[in-house]
Amino acid sequence: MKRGRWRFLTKRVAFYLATSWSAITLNFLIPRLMPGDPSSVIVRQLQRQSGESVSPEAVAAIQKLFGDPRAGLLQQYWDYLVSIARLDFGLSVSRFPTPVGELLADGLPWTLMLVGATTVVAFVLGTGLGIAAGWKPGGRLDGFLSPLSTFLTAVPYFWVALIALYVFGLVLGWFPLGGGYDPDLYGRPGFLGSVLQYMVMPATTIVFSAFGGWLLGMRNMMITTVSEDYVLLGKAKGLSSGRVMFRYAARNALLPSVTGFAMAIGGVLGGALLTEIVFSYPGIGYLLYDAVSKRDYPLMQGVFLLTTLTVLLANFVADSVYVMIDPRTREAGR
Amino acid sequence: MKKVRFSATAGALGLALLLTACSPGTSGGAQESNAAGGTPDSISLRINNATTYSRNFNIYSPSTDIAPQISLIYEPLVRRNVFKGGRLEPWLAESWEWSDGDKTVTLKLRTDVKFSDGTPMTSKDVAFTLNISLEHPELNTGGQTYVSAEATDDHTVVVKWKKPAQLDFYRFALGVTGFAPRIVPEHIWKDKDLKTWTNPDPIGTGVGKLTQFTPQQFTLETRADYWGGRFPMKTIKIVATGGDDQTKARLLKGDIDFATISWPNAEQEYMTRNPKVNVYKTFHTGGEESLLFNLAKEPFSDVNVRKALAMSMERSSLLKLAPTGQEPANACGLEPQVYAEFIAPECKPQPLDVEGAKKALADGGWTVEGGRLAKDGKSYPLSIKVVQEYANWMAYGKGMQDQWKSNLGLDVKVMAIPEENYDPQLNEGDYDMALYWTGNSNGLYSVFADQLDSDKYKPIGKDAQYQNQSRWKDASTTPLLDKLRDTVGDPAAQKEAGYQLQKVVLDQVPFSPMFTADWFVEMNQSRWVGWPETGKTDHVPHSGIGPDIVMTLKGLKPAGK
Repeated sequence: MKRGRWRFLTKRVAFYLATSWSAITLNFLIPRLMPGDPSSVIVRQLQRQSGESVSPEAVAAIQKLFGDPRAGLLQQYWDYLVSIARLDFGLSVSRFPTPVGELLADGLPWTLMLVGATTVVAFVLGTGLGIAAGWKPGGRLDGFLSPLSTFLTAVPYFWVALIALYVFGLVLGWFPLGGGYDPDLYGRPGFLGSVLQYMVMPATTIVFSAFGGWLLGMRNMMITTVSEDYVLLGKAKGLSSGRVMFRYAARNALLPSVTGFAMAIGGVLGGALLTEIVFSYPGIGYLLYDAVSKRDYPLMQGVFLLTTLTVLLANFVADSVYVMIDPRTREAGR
Repeated sequence: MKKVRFSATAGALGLALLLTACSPGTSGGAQESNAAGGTPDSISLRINNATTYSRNFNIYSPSTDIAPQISLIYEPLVRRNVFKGGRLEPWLAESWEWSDGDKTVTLKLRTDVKFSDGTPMTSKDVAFTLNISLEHPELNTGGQTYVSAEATDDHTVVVKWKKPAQLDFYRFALGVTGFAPRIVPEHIWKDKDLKTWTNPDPIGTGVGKLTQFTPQQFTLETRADYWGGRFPMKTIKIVATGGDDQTKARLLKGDIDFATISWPNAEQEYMTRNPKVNVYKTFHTGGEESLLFNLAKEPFSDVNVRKALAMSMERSSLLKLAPTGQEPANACGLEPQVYAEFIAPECKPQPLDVEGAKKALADGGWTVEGGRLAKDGKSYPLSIKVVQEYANWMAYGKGMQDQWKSNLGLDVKVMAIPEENYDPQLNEGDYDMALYWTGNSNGLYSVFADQLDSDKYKPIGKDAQYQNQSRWKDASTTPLLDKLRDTVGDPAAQKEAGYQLQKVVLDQVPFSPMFTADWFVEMNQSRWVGWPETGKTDHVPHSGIGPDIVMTLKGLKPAGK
């Protein structure tokens, strides 16, 4: 049995390594398949900002600085693999010569904090309410929550965000109009307070839009679980309603949500783009959007890599956790 | 447990709200308030659409996303006076003289300039700066063409070119990042690898010294020993507000004092909200937004077609579709406010002339059939490209489509192209008609060489590299352009050649100037007043044109004084 376990584990690890490698290769190829290249973007930006056409000498200089991305693709690929191994993400093109690592380090904590926290809160809130709603389908709570959630999932997120910004930020003036913190308080007491203050609107709008999905999923799973025989047995045995609801029904109904949650955690890095744009939040979602529109290959690759590896890691963890909490998979996984 | 979850969430939100009440300040970039009796000592500027800045002051990076310093830290040698046809005026260089058939310029530098670390600026620093692009051609993003730069004494630098260079010298004064050489201190920069150094603590000749940096906003302190004199404000904050929507919200809230976004309907949405405080102004750049024709493509190779299309539009009603403050442009390609002394007398904005348009079509033997132009059994569908992200261009395109339909019966398709694909398509000649910018305030040669230089002709499919995207192929303009290029210091000769080129634009309509290209400026007068007025100033309060912004800031006064 021990050998079986090890074989299972090695197979999984090998699978994830192979997936990582193909993700890395696609990270390298896809940006280069897009039309346009960094130097033409920079030339156009210079032209736009100054209102004048860029001289041919300047164009030549810029192209020399950033090179022709199509030359020596295989050589570039090898260099790329080597630099990944050394965790050297290179220099950003759109913010030349700022190192990509520095830009990622600046933006990552904000995205993790905002989106990580809100994903957890939305999950907990939505799942919890879903359990309550699904336990008595058609009851008063369900009758209120289900249509509300359906409505909320249909409302586009950016609409919610813009309205919130307008009403609470501009009209009422309760919350700041943009940013992650008050720059005048940077490094001074009160900074943490301002971080929380600036986080309220983005976080609330995300949770507001997201918890409905979790709620509906959990509620529907609960409904199917509640009609199972073992729940009936639990009730018949005389166990309390709450105990049956949580230890019997919810525990089984939770399994798909756990997988979904793991996927959501994996999607944290890429998931806050709209929020960051509307609220000017300094995370890496906006950095990625900017990198793509400016064909900043090193920055794009850096963010893509982080995102894909995070997703893979989250999946790996989810698989392992699943095996732990559901004994049935252990039997099947040999 | 559900109850616990509820109260946990409620508790977290409540805590956050409580902290809201406790922490001071309501939003980023707010400056000290003008409390009764107190004067403001800080000003907030929003100068581009970045959401975050990185602490990178390496001005040799061609990137426009590094920390912008807009002449507040590093300054150029000369500046352009936009209102005098782009004439060069002194800045760090006090005066200059041409010799050797205009191939050599001798610059005399100011003697009272100090870097922000106290070191005096000398010709050694200037020569060092100018030699950077010679030693590292890939960093020559300003397209400089001089071949040597030498310090001959403490305050004199001699720069040499291979050919007459009065025109190339203009590149010492052009707009933004990387264009004009900005003088850096030799004693700090000399050992740095400019391809990896991010210059996090910039020391320059400008008035600003970096005192605080966060990715959302950085603060410069104005120093007392700046050569240009004392500034009325103690600190200048450069704020990153992101895109236009966020910026408008911050302007309306009164958070920032200055911004440069184009704001359709600014009258109702901004100025009337707070009439004494909110000001929106436009300043002509000397260029236009024009309708380009692809001259290498049928039917645009026929001047009658171009004339007809140009005459059948009413520019003032198009402007009403997206009122940003722009005005109809002069049909000859020269903007009157900037080039007043050079405009030919017969030049004025193209009026609507439907009869003339129909006659032009008839003269060329064209008929309109099924919405297309037809001749000799062939029919041509027409289209116009506009940039998708520019709301005003989208509005104009639609308006032009309507006008051509009602005036000539033509069905012109409007194609909205994403910004990053626009230039590549125009460069390769992949368009029928397109809106684009022509002209600028860099002098007559630059205005006309842009689209009328046959030497830069590239057939459709080849990259035009941002020059002559119209594919103009008439050699008669080349000697006129040469004359403009070689007589930069001679207004009479410029005028003469200029008149002839204007006639070409008027008669041949290689492109049709539509609207003045403007700089758009929003100003908040609750803390600072004394902002420049059109017609009463020699500089434009815009952050994209060299040291003009420095002059603007220096000229402000605290409100209420």
